[in-house]
Amino acid sequence: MLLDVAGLNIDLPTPDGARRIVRDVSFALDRGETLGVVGESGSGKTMTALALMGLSPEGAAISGAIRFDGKDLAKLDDAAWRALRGDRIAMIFQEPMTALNPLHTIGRQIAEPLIVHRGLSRRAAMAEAVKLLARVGLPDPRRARAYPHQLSGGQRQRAMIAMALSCGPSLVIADEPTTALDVTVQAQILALLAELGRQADMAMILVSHDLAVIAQNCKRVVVMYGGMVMESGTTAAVLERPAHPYTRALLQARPRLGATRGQRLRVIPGSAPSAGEAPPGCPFAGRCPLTVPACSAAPPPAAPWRGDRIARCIRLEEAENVA
Amino acid sequence: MSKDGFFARARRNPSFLVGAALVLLVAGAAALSLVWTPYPPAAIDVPHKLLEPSAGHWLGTDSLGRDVASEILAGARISILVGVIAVGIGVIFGVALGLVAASAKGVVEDLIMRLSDFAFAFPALLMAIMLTATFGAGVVNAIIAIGVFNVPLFARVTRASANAVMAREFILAARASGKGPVAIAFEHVLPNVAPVLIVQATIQFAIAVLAEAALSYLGLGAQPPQTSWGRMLSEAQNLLYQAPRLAVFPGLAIMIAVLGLNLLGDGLRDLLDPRLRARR
Amino acid sequence: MLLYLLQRVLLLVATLAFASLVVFGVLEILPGDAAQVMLGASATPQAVAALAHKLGLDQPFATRYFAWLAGIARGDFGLSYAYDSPIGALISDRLAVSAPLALIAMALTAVIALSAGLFAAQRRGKRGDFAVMAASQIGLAVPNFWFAILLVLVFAVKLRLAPSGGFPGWSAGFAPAFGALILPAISLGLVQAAILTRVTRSALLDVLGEDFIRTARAKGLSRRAVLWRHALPNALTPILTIMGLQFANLIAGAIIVENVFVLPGVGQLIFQAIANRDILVVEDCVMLLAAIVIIVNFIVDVACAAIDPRLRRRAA
Repeated sequence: MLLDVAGLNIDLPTPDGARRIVRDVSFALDRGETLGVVGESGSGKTMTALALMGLSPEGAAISGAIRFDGKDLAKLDDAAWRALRGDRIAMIFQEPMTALNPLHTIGRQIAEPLIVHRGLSRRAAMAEAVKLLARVGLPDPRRARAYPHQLSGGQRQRAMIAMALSCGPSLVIADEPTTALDVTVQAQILALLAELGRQADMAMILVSHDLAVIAQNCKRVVVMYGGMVMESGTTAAVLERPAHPYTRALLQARPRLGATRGQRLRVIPGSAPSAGEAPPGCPFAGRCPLTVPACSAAPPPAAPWRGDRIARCIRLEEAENVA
Repeated sequence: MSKDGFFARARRNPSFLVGAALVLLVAGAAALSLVWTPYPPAAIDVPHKLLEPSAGHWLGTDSLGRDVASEILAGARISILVGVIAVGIGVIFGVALGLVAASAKGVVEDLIMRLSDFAFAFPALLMAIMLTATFGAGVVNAIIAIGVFNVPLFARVTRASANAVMAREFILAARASGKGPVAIAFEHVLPNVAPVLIVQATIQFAIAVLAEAALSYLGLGAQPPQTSWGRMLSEAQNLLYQAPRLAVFPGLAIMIAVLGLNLLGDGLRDLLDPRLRARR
Repeated sequence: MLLYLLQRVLLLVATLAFASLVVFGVLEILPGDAAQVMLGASATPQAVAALAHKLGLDQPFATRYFAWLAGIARGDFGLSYAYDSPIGALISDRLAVSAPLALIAMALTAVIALSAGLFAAQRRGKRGDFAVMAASQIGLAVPNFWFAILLVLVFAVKLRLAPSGGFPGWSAGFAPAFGALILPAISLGLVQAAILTRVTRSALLDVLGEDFIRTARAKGLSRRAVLWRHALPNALTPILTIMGLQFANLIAGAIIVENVFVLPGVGQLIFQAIANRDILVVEDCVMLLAAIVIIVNFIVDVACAAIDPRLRRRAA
């Protein structure tokens, strides 16, 4: 087991007191495995990812356990976090334009983790950066001297990947790595990530709102909503036979090729709760067609379902019958 | 929070409240001085010169026996007069130029903006000093000299905000319904640019008050018997050893006026600027 | 970068040319016959005509303008009517006072503003931030000449630690000459620092909220390294731009503060020249100050482009 997150809670301070924006999140990840985390904006998926990097916003209170390689990350001090970040755990951000420093060359930014963690000289780190760029599909050594604004979106994201992989991390967290890119470039970047992950036996957490991206790249998936894990299991099982009413609604809300003409796209009624408004019960209560008064009373427990799957819903049986 | 009305939000904005209170204090002093001052502000009374503050003279008297409290009250008039007219000149000509630049685009826009760039390269206060020195000292010339340098500033602010407004859909809709550029500029662009202009005008008002004080201190602004805080300071400077307090009160008055205007401007920016409001 | 520099230099020359035209033009259209004003109402018409001829005032505008420019290019600034001596020497004497004053004040401004802005930005929303912001709000509202008067009041009149004005000259030794510039420089620099502190703080806060700051932290950099290597360079362009614009205020402020401290600087020379109707001296001084401001802003532009590669591209 490389990563084991158990009962993770994140509270953010607001003018009206602390708000719990991630509630009792648990999942695990083996070496070399790719896990998908899917959810709408405000589902807490990015906050969860940042907590794994120790980069939660100022004032955030984190409880629960994050065990990485046998260490409990929740107990690390600042210096220990720094030694881990960029070396053992790396992150790829959504928007490569703003996530790269506009004043530094690509090469310098890729070389930086090598200087910090490997103690390389600037010259050696730059030479390594040129090799890394070649590995991510930018073989021209002059690219290392380019500034971010001189590259295309896809090239920038490749540079971002080279930066994340520079120290050979055992876990990479990719937060919406292709959302800002053109569709054709998306596929290339995802293929590149998968290939590099295989080569280095690197585990990856792929955070996305896009079910198609998750389906193609991840063996297992975690579905988040309102700061909670609604359902988790193998991607094939979850997407083919969704247990949770939310997962089902999410699948029905996406357009599909081959749908009968005139068949309406199903829309989830109501709107997602904003990150902060934590209702006492199930966050999906009210928007869910199967809501009963008990749903809003207490958060649903995480229950095993059909083998190795886990779902948080008190009406799983009824949900199965409706479908 | 953003759903609340202007006044509900204003009541929770300390910058706005303190700024408005200070500005009202200065405006009140100016208004009061029109109908009443303890003594005529320019009345020379040499036998009673350099008196310490007392019940008869709250802030004492100056080297010619004038009542300092009366002079401070009357000084507010000049500050406000210069501020209002100098900013007015900037707003009227600057906004017109800015709107023309934003609606005309092309060569006209480039020309207006290049000219305002050049104007920015000059130290405004230095040019005001030069202008008043050559055309003669006095309030009118001081107002013009300060106002001239507000024109390019307002032109630039207006054009930038107007361009942002014109890029929005409702302008396209107005154009599609057959409205001419002048009608669009006045009916749609100006009301949307107004908040930014109000904020800028408040800040420029503060700068104008400082500039008037500086010019009058140098003897280039208000001339006797007109009372000005800047001129009071220049007179007080010769008496630092005998009556240091004379150098304190006019400076405090300038500071209160400028502080109030700046705080009011900051508060208004928070309250009026829709971009800032969205960011909360 | 080379193309960018070329463009900037051309723009600099154009701005200087425009400035010279404005300075020369404004003083040309001043009311009254200059020679008559200089000599007074009792002068004979012959004397007025002779002076006008001596000063070249009987030549057409364009001729005089280009003669003036050509003179400046040769380093010949003309003759002062009132002092009857070369203006170049007059101005350089005065610059020996004004230039150090401006430089000390600007250095003070930069040091105070950068450290206070950095301090406040790192304590956003806390007590230290609030104190810095309140102090800078007061600083914005204090006229520099009043602050200068208050400094004289406290340090010269009450404490008798510094001279209340005057300048012993650099020949009197470094310490006394420098000492005479300290209070003027503080009164200029401290008030200017108020604006720059706010600019520094908000520029830093803007940058600290950027995504690439998070990227830098994700690489495992310490907070200090993130601040110095990633945040500060990005905040520097807006700070430098405002510093360039402030230099103009500083020059104008120096004229006023020189007046408070009775320093024989360029400001005093301008006032005497205005009082004497010594037009050529006024023209040369104002042109010099405008040129300094324009050149400083040119240097700021180039420095910003050296820091930020995007600025080099945008101009090309």
